[in-house]
Amino acid sequence: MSAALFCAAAAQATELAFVPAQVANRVSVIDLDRMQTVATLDIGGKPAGVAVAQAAGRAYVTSPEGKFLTIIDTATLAIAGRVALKGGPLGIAVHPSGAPVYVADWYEHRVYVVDPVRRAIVAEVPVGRSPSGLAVTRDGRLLLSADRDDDQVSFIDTETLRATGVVKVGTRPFGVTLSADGRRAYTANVGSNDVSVIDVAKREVVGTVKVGDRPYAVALAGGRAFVTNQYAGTVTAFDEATLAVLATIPVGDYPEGIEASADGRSVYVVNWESNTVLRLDAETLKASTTAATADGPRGFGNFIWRRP
Amino acid sequence: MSMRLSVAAAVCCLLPGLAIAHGPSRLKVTGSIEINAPADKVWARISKFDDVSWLGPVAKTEGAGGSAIGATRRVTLKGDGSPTVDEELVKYDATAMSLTYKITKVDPKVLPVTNYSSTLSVSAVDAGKSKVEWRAGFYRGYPNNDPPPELNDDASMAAVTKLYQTGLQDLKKTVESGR
Repeated sequence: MSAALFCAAAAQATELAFVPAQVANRVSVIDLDRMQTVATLDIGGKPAGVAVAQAAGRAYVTSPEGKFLTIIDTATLAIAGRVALKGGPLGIAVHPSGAPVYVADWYEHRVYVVDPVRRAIVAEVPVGRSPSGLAVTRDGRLLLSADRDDDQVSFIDTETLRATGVVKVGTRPFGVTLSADGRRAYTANVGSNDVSVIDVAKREVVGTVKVGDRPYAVALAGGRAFVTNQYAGTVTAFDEATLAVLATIPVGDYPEGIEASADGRSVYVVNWESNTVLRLDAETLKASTTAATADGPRGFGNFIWRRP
Repeated sequence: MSMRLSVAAAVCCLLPGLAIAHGPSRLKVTGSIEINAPADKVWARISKFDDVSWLGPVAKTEGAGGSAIGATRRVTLKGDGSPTVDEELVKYDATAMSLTYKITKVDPKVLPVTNYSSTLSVSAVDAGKSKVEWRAGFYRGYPNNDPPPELNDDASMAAVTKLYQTGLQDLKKTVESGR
């Protein structure tokens, strides 16, 4: 009886997190309403990156060591397929229409364009060295690649599949996040412990915000930016308009992936060392509940699926 | 042995400016041990960042900045060529009896890791007994794809696991013998 109730509640969850747990070789699926794991999926190949296609109901997960992409059905929580890749596939983003899927090759300095239906690489876009985080605008026209070892962001036209230019940012950008309106982008710079704020139309850095030790990724909610600092074990919150730091919040050990809920009230932080997902209140800037994950969660990318 | 050295040397030469480049998978090692001594006594022995004399392979430690965040130390190891490891204190919490440091410079043939950070903490089991935990996060020694076997994930895991097992035994012996 209680099991049936639990399953029914899980099925009704409005938001689910698909968190690659690299050490465990699994994806932990967490009901964010209840902050409980509802499934643990065997993935293999040391999974790390994730991108959820909202309307298509798919979570795409990269396995850089196994060199493949796993396709998860977000409604049934079944593994729907796998796409063989090459190099070191890590960072990932998906076109808002659900296809194609873009995968950054950490070693070979290119972005793969993957057709998830044909399950094949259909194009390759050369970018800078060690492309890490990827982000696509909501209109699907522009793809950004944080080229970590060239200290730059590549701008890629998704029609022509060509890089149309670069913007130099801080030292070793890892995660890159676009604002909902596509006007601004933020990079977490591992080497300079700061965040670069890019004006997308002007293609220039319009601000730099000092954050904690080893920033990893940025989430946006309610006019605020939230940045995970791996070595510091904190999240830095700053105002998107003034760029003033509002708080430095202790979150757990070695925080990595971070993303906001659709309503902007919550920010979810993935703690690699603590094996947890932590909910932060985006308004009060306080930590609230945690959910346990499989070992070594990374959640690099967009990991939250909202039930339509 | 010469093969191992030449591979490690090649890695260093090929990647002069890429000290923080790394492989795709961050690895975890946790070691723990029970020590027959009160927690505060154990903490007193390990909490001085410029003193790692409790660890068997260490010949000497030169520190700067004491035990303040950002303090650095150069640990010289016993053995051929007196290899060194440079480390920096990242977090320090005397109340929780926990400190976190990172390696800023090490030759992968000494310890086959990159981007290594580690937390050493003590907790009380009872009035006369304590538990020490040593936890590490790191990437393998070879920062590129398709690593040679001596610098792959397994080799890195094995090296850190061995260091922690023997190191915690060293600490137990040191503290329990009153040194």
